[in-house]
Amino acid sequence: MPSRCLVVDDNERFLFVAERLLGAGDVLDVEGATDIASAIEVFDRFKPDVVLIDVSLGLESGFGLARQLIERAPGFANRIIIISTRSGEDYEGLIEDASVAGFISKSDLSVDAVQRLVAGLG
Amino acid sequence: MDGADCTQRVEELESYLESAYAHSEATYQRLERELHGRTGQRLVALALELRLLEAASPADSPERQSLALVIGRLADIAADLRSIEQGVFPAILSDAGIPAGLRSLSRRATVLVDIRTGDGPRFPPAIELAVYRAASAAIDYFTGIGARRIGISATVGEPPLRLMIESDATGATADPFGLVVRGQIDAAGGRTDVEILPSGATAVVVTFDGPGEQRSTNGG
Repeated sequence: MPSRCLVVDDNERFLFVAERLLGAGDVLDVEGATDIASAIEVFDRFKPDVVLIDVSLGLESGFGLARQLIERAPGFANRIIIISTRSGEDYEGLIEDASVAGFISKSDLSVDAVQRLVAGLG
Repeated sequence: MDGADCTQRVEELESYLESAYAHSEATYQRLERELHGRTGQRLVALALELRLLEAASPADSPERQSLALVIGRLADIAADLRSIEQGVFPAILSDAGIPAGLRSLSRRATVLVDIRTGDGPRFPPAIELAVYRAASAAIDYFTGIGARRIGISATVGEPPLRLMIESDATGATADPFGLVVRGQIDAAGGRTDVEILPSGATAVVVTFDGPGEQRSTNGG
């Protein structure tokens, strides 16, 4: 049975491609959200096994959403992956502080990359 | 011109300089956002669409090999674009504040740059930019006079914000900042002091008394 994956990104074109890319094969069942409010709504309803969050959600902060999800579901931190078109090195300190599973550069996005950071998916 | 006229003229010029700095930074910031937000995001989406095609093409087929080649070239272009964006305006700074901005400078430096900074409240954009430009100029300056190691520390916990840049280079002159960076520091309400360390090396200290503001980390 595929694992549930939520991708949160304010760029709809990226979201569309990411859903197809990660949803190919039987590993992940993917849903998308474009802002914090809709991400939390999908999180509660869809109960994802892994959440990918863009650093920037328009005027909202992806790290802010990560903190809110961890408050709602303590222990979920190691199932959150931060994504960005920028280099992960730029966000090193922030990613460590957020204690999330890790970072994937958007151009390296793949099912394998997600599975490498969060064990036991799919 | 008498004394009062001179004072008024100086004030006008200072105010003009301040708005000129603000205007040019705003222009650079807009340019960076357009490069990143439009071109960069579209390049990434295009690369991922090609990866979908690649995944759908038969293994070991010439098409798959060609697609892999094109995807690799797109990745190179995206990396070039990121480096141009970073040079135009330090988006990492507005995204993530002074600590992340200083860390990104240290990674791009050609000598070892040691960053010591904690996390704290965000400061007004003009102050954050002045800190970043000052640190960048000091790295260039100390590298130019032969430093092998540069240390940068910033207290960002609460105002005053104190940025200290020291290096193992000797023979530093009084002010490592050119007119433009000094103008930015002045316009943001900062002051520059030069200290001679017990080792004989020079340290530059930039202090901003302006208020910190609680602003959530916002991203790009």
